[in-house]
Amino acid sequence: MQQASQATVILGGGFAGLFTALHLSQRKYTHQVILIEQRDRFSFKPLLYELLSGELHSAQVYPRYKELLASSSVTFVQDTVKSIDLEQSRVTLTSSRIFNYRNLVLALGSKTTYFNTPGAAEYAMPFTSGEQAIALRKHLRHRLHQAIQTSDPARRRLLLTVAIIGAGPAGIELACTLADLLPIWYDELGGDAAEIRVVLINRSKEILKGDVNSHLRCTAQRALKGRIIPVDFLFDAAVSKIQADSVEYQQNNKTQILQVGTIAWTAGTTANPLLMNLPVANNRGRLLVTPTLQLPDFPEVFAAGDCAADSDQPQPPTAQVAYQQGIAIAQNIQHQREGKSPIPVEIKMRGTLMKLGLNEGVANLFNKVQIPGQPGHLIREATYLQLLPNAAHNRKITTEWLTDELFQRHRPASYMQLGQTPWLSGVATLAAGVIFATPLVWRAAQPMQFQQNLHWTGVPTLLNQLAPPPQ
Amino acid sequence: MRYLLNLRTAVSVNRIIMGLFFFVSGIANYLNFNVANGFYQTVITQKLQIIGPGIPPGWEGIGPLPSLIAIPYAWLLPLAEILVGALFALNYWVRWTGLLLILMTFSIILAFGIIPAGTLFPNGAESFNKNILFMTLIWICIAYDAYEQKMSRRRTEAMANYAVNNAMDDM
Repeated sequence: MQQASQATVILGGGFAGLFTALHLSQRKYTHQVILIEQRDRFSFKPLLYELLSGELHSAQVYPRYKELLASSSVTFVQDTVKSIDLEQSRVTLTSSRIFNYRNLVLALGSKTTYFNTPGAAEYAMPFTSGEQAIALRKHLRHRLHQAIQTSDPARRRLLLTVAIIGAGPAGIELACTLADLLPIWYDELGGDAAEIRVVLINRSKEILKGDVNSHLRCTAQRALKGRIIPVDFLFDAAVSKIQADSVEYQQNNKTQILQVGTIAWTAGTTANPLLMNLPVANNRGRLLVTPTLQLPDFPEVFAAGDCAADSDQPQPPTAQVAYQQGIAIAQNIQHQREGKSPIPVEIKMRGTLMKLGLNEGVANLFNKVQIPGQPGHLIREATYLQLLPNAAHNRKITTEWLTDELFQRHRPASYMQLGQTPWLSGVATLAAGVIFATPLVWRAAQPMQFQQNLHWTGVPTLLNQLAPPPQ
Repeated sequence: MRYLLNLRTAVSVNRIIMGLFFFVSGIANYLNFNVANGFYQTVITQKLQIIGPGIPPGWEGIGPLPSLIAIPYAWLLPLAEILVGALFALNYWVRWTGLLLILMTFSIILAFGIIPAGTLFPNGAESFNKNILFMTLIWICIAYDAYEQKMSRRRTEAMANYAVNNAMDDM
């Protein structure tokens, strides 16, 4: 089927693809924009932990594309890309539909890789989409229910042990969230929260190795040990085999087995296999692009996010980068159509953000100032909510989140369960206390001046009735 | 009855009463700051003692505190009572505010002694504060006992469910 050849086709509905589509629509782009994505919902990856824990719900961080694109001129096609022909400017889908394009945006993202570990694809649960977050939540709930019903201590220990493979940012954020969340869920079922065990398994000796967040290593390590149930570390351990209820690993040249009820996999991603077959230069599957995010030999084709690598200005594969690249591509496509030169993309990194447990995080502003704890959590949530696609959706969700934070609604666990204090309310109480105590201190220090200055308010008379001043 | 036998309710009420007690005490200390034998004079002249007033000469304790410590302490203690009491009652930073309250209470015990003024030993004299504390603490124990029984029942029910589910799975 021949589609309009003037069309701009966007492959992949992650941050880069979706934001390209939305910004083209906002710019009153006159040509057809087609977004092709195999899933029907957009996964806001940085906030999937909140979806797992129940701090935010599906409509907030796992919305349908149709809803996000309802007020735009973008055509959404739910299908999987079968092949890309750059020479013929053509994309073929598994449903045999063919789209010819004038501009193509490659934003297919990355795929989970198991490094050929036997059993990993079958038994380990990845954590890269809303669907997987919901599946992991259901699995964990099921395991806790099974554990509360069993009288065999060994079986219960197995059911209550969670192994997280990979100590990159995703593994650490997931471990911190589960080490706070599972004890609370299990306690609510009537179980002994102390029986929960969360184990972080890592191939190397250090966490966050080679990551953009590597300088947050100490903060993350402290946070992992400071959860309701401290996270156990199993480092320098190479996972060699995974079975339904065990992880086999090599450590110090010895093969060891850890009995577990749940295995979460955050160990690695690889580029989309479709990209490897393209006749263009790539760096481990990431297409080499110009500073304007175009393919050097195909200037009508743009690539962004996990698909692209700019050898002059390498960028980390984060939502923050993909979001800015999406906006820049929309601008460059429009420039190209208007006969202007595309503009090199300047990514402004505002620092990094990590979730380090329920109601706890770290905001590393401009890579200079680290704000940990609840203030860090508030900055992280507020920053990510501002990145939500579609202005109407953004306003609605941000308002919901703000009112939820203020009135402490829909929380997966109360502050009391976490042994924490809502930071804003605590400081407000402290300020109110100081204001309340000020006239009392004034009266004690300068009784005469207090009487004279505040006589008109009646406060001195009231206090004198409670306790007469010294004569 | 369900609310009375709830551990969280009991702990919350206990915490609010304790916090309020310190909050009101802070206000009262500022109101009676400068009166004769009032708060300020007491802090400036009071000795640190294990054995309270009415004890033979030579057992009055050491002190009073040097002015450098006593004056800031006198001015800041009521403020701390107000702020920390309010935070504690409202469940904010309970671990730290609770620790501060214990330290403040301990300083008062050191200042006034534990024998026989307070007193730790029953001597026929009513101690209102002590009775309030005893009541709330005993309530915690009762509620906790109810909580333990509930949890035990829940585990028994869960084990029974497991047996039924297992049988169904086998089929």
